[in-house]
Amino acid sequence: MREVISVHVGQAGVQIGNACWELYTIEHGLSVDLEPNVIDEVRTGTYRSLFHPETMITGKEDAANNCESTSKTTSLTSSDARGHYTIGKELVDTVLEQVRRLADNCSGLQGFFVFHSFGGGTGSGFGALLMERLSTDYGKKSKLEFSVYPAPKIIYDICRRNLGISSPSFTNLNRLIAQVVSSITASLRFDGSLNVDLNEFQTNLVPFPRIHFPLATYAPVISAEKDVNAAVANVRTKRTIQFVDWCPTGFKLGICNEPPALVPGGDLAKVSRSLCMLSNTTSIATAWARLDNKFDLLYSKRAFVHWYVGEGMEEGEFSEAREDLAALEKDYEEVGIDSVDAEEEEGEY
Amino acid sequence: MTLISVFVTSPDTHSERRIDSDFTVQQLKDKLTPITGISPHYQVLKLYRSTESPASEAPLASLDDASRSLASYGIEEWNCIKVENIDPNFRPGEFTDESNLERFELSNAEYEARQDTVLSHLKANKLGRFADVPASLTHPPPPPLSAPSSIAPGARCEVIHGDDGLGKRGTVRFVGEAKIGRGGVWVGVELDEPMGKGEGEVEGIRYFSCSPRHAVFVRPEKVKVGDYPEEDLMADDDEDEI
Repeated sequence: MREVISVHVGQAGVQIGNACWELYTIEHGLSVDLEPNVIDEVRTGTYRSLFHPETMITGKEDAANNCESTSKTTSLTSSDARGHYTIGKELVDTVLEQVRRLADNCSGLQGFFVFHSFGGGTGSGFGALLMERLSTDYGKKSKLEFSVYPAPKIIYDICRRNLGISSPSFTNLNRLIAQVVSSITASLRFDGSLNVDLNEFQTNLVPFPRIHFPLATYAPVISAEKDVNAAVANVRTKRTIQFVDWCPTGFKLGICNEPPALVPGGDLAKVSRSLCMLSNTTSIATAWARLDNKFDLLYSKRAFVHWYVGEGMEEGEFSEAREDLAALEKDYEEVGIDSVDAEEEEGEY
Repeated sequence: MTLISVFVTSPDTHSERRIDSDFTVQQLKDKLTPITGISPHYQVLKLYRSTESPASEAPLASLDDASRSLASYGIEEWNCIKVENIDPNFRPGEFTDESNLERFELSNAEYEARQDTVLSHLKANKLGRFADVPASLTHPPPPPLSAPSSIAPGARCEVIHGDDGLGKRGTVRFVGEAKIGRGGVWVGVELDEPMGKGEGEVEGIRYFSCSPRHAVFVRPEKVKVGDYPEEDLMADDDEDEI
């Protein structure tokens, strides 16, 4: 049995959790006869109870599903400073105790999924604290963070342009995200000709600990069947995508026999196969640049700083964090610098 | 408790929020403070039908009684709450305008001094551009000193060149020793399409003349001589569309 513990933090985290579990239950044939309005009701009114560990363990037994979930939605919605410092410090022990209890019941714990936002609520502050503590307590276990950026403009654009949803709400967005999350775990939950587990992602995609921010890409696949290994070999020979020579493998493929499932009333078309790609690419560096610009803009005016200081953060921590992010930007530049190519051929003139 | 989804728009932010319609206006303002960055007493809230309401549309209500509940104002799912900032010190755009941004910069020396970076990792483990240069690169094979006799000026050919590795057709214009790169024998080809490098001149010496970007010089092994008629671009396009 390979288990993953999902922790959904904050409003965004919990709402994405809703969408994920909605999809999982359909994929595992749990709730095919659930009316969409029942799901809606669960989502709007009592979504906390949906994520109660006991409910999920029932789900697991019924479907031979090997995922479990715990969720902590609390009144902790004030600010990320409080999430990380004062209140969060008290709460994190309760959460970790709950996680420990779940972990003890696992026979082959693969790792953790942590869902949270970066928007400046419980998700960002408490999410960060939880990640820290999970690292301390379960150092070797993989942690996959699903983070929602404050203005998920790109996902909005996808909904608008590609799915024809004129004013997408988080329900639309979260269902899209759920489809990606489900693809990542599909290989753990279903049989397939090429099975992958969580640790293999890390081994193959993260050549250096600081470079650990893969981008997720999802696409329905309509074209004819092709040999994936041949396709990958083809990509490697093309010079349009450059690979660093110090990441030994660079690829990890998983193939799952189960076709993608659809949520009734959802926005995606039914396809018989789909593809989800996690790529550890230097293109993420633009996100750091944007984030750093935003930080500099606010910090130069000392905007919001007093809230953090009031919760016990020291100003030095800000500059330390900023320096670290600047170093991260340079790390990505360094990754992008061409290394000596042993197969480099003589140029042309 | 009734949770509803609404949009919240302020001068610097726009977001979707799930809120309890039993909140009082005061409770909502407290919640919006960290989201909008505006202190509760500087917030003026107006309720609109939706985010798509035109600017001319009158608000459904002004949420100005701090003790009243949102439900009592008739708030509904997907309404939009507009937050105005009446702080006298507020300067619109001060948190979004990056025109005068002083960006924090980490100097290269500071970056190099750090121990946990990609740079230090690559250096310490002799990886990437710090890898030992393979002997084949420091002592490259000698340049070719001859070309097959089939490669002669005027011959039609295909050149394997460029990043895509695709063959490009053209006519051989020059074959022989040239002071290009490491010397030795080079083949100059005038390509049918402007996908080359120049007009037949390299490093100050002219080997032949042609239109800009039609000339390319490669080693003989990159040239295949044969029956390669000029491709009809239009015909190609039609085929692609079928």
